Amino acid sequence: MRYINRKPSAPHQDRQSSPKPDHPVRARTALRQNDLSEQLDDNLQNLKELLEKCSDAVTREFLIGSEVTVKAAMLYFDGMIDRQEIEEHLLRPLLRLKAEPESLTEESRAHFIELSIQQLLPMGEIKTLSTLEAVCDHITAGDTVLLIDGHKQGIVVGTRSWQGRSINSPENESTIWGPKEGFTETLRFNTAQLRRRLKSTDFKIEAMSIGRISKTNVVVCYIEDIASESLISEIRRRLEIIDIDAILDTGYLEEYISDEKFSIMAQVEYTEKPDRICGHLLEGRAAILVDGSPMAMVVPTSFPQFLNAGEDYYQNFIAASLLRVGRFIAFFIALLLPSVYVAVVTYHQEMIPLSLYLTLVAARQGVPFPAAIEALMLELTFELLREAGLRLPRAIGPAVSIVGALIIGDAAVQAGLVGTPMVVVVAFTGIASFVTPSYNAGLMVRILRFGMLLLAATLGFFGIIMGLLILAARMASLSSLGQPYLSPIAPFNLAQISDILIRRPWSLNSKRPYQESMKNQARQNLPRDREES
Amino acid sequence: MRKIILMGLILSLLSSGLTGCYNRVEMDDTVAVTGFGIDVDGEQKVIHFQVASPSSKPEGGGTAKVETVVLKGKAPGYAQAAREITLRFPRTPVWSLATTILLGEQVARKDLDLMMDFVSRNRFIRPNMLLFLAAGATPEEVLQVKTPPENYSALALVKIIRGQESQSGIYLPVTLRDFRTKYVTAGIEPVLPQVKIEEADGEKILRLQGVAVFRDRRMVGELNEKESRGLRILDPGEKRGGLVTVNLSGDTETGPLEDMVTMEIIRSRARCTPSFNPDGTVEILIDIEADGNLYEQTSAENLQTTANLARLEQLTSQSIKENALACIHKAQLLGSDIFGWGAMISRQNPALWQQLKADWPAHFSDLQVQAEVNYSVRRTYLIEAPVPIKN
Repeated sequence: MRYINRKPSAPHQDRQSSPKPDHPVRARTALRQNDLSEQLDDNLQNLKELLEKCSDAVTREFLIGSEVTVKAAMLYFDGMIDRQEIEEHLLRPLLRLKAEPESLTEESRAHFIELSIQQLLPMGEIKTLSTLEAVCDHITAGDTVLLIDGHKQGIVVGTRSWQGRSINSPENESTIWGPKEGFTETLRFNTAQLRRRLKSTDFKIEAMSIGRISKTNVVVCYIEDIASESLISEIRRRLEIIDIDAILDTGYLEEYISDEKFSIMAQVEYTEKPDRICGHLLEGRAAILVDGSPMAMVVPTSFPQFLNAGEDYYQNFIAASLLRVGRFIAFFIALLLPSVYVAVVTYHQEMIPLSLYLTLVAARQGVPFPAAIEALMLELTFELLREAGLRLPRAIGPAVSIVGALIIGDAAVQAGLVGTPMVVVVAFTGIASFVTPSYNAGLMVRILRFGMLLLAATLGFFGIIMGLLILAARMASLSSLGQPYLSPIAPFNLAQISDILIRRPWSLNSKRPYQESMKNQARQNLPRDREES
Repeated sequence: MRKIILMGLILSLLSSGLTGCYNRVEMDDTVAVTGFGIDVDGEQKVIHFQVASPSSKPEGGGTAKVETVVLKGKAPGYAQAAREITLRFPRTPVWSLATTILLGEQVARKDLDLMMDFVSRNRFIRPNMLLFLAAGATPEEVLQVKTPPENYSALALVKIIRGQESQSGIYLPVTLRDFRTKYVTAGIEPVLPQVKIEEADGEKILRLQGVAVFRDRRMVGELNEKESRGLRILDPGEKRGGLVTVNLSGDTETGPLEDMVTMEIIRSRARCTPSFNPDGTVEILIDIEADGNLYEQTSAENLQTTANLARLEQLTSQSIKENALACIHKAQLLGSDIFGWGAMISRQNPALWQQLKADWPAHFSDLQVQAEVNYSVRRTYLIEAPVPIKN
C-alpha cells in the first residue's frame, strides 16, 4: 500500500526559521555569555535583567570593611541557602574587615581581596568565576555569589542547604530483614548513604549534568576495581548524547540506557535501597542516581534479578532459596493461571481430574458469560481496583476495598454473574503478582497476562505454548548493555545459575557473578583457597 | 513506523475473524462421562454412558448435587451409536474423563473384534481406562446400580478393584492398554475381572466375582476366586498385599475352625522360566518368593516357635502353590495361555516357537509345570504370643 506523503506545509517552514534577534529570550541568552565586568553596577544591572521576575532571587548590596569601604553584592536564591551561615560566616567578617586602602596599589588591591577572602571566610567550598552564566548556574544551584566592585571575578561560596525529606524506609520496597534505610530526593544524601557502606576510594561517583533547563545532577556509581571499563564508558556515552530539556526522574533515562527502546520488558532494575545498590555494585554493575528522585537504576539487568529480593542475602540460605523458588513459581502463576484456567474450561476439560471437573461444572452452572469473557472482566476489575487503590487519598481507601471485595466479588458471585472458581483464580493471580519484588517487572507480567489470556481464549493450550515460546524468544533476544537478558539461564552458566534459582551460601560464594570483562572476580579469599595457594 | 502501526491494525482486524480452535466448548455445555458400557444387542451395537449430571445450584450457595444418568445409544456401529445419543441429550459428553469401560457378556462371547477397533481408534478413550466384564447382566444394568457412598458405579468399580488388591489380593486391574496388547500379541491371551450384580436386602449391589478368560477373540470361561488368586500371584512383577488362610490340620477347606490361621502376604514375586528339554518338550519352572506376617490365629497354641513358624511357612507356601496350580490347570483346561508363556518361549527360543505356534493352545494345555513357593514370615504385629484363654 502506498503512503501519501504530505507536502511540507507552511507552519513547518516557520519552525525552522530562527526567531528574531531582538526577542528578549534571545537577547538574554546572548547576555549570559558575557564576562563579568570590573564595575559592580554593570554586573548587577546585567544580573538584574537575567533574574527578572525571579521573585526568590536575593541581591544584597553592602560595603566591605568598617572604616574604608568597598562596594560589594551578594546574590543567592532564597530557600536554597543556609541563611545563618551566610550571615555569620560571610557577611559579618566582611563587614568588619579592617584595612588601609590608601596604601594599596591597584595590583595589591586585588591581592588583598584574595587574601582576605582566603583568610576571613571560614566556608568549606570557595571558587572564583568570571562569566555571568557561571554566576547564574551557581546561584540556581543554591550557592551564594559574592561580587566585589573593581574585581573582575566573582566568588562562589558553597552554602547549599534546603529542606529535604529525611531518610525513611522505602515504602514500595518493604523488607523484613536487613537495612531499612531508603533513598530520598536529595542526591547528596543518597551518595552519602552509598559511600558510608563502601568506604573505599575505588568506589567512584561520576557526576554529570543533564537537561538544558533542569540541569539535573546525574551520577554514575561503580567500583573501579570491579566494574568493566567498557560498561562504564558505554553508560557515559549513552548519557552524554541525551539532549533534553529536563530530567525529572530516573525513569527518564531508562529509554536512553536500555538497548531495546520499544519493548514491554522491564530492562533496568530500580531500587530505593542503598544496601541493594551496593550489592549490585559489588557484582560489577553500575548504578545511576538522579537528583530529585529516590529511585536508583541498576544496569546491566538480567531478568532473574527481578525475582531476587535484597533480603535473600541476609537470611538463612535455605529459607532464602525456598522463597526464591516460590517467587519463580509465583511469577508463572501470575503470568499464566487465568489463561490456563480458561484453556482448561473451554478446550481441555479432559485434562483435569473428574472430581475437579464436577466441582467446576457445578460452580459454573448458569454463569451467563463464556469463561474467557468472565476472566477478562474480572481481571480488568482487579486491575482497576488496584490502580484506584494506588491513586486514592488514604481516607477513602477502606471504602474502595469494601466495594471491591464485598460488592464486586461476593455480590457478583451471588448474582450468578461470575463463577466462584474464576474469582478464586483471579484473586490467587493477584496475590501471586504481588510476590514479584520489582514493581516494573510486575507491571510487565500484568500486561503480558492479558495477552496470554487472549491466546488461551482463542487457541487453548496451543496458544499458551505459542505465547510462551514467543515470550521466551523475545526475552532471549534482548540484552541489557550487552549482557543477555536471560543470563545466566540463556546463555547457560552453571556456576552462576546456582545463585539465581537458589541463594548460594556465602561460604561457597567465593566468585562474583561473571560479567563481561569484569576486572576482579574474587569475592572472598576463603580459608581453603588460602591453604591451596 | 506508521506502516508498522497500519500493519498491526490490519492484522488485529483480520484476527478478529478467527474463531479459534474447532473444539472450543464451554464447560457448562459439557457433561462428564464416568464410564462406558459396550455391548451388542442382536445385530445392533449398543453403547452406554454413565454421565455425571449436575443439577442447578441449590439456594443459598453450596455445591450442586450431582445425579447419575445412564444414556444408551444403539446403531450398527459404536461411533454411530454414540452420536445417536446427541439426538436426545443436550450436552457434549467428555469421554476422556471416564475411568471405566464395561464390556457386555454378549459382545465378549460373540467376538471382541466388534469393539476393539472402536476403543483403540477413538482418541477420547484413554488407554489407562480400566476394563471390566459385566457378567450376567448388561453394562447398562451395572452402570445403574447405586454404590453409596460413591455417586457413580463406574468410579466405585475403580476404587473397589484398587482397594481389594492391597487388602484381599484376588483380582488384578486390567487397563485397556494391557488388554489390547495381550489381545494382539501371539502367545498370550487377555483376561478381564468380572462384575456381577448381587441382591442384598432387596438392594442391588455390585461385586467383583471371577475373571473372564478369553481365547481366539471370545470369552471361553471364567476363573473362580481361588484361581483368580493364583492368576494374580503368577503375574510377573512384585505384588503387594493379599491374605492366605491355612489350617494347621493341613486341610484348608474343611479343617477345624480353631486351627485356622490367617497369613498376610506383604509382597510376592513370581518368576516363570521355560526349560527346553533335549527331547523338544518344554517345561515351565515357576519360582514364587513371598514375605508376610501372621495376621490372625484362633488356637491357643503358641505359633511363634521355630518349629511352628517353619510349619506355618510351609503351609502357606503350600496354599499359594495350590492356588497357582489350580489357575494353571483351569487355563490349560480352557486352552487359553493367560500367563503369556507362549510369548516367553517365542522370545527365548524363536525357532521352537515357529513349530509350536500353529497349534499353541494344544501345546499349552500339555505343558508340564513345576512350581516352587517360598513364603517367609516376617512379623506378628502387636501381640507375640496368642491371647491366653482363661480358666
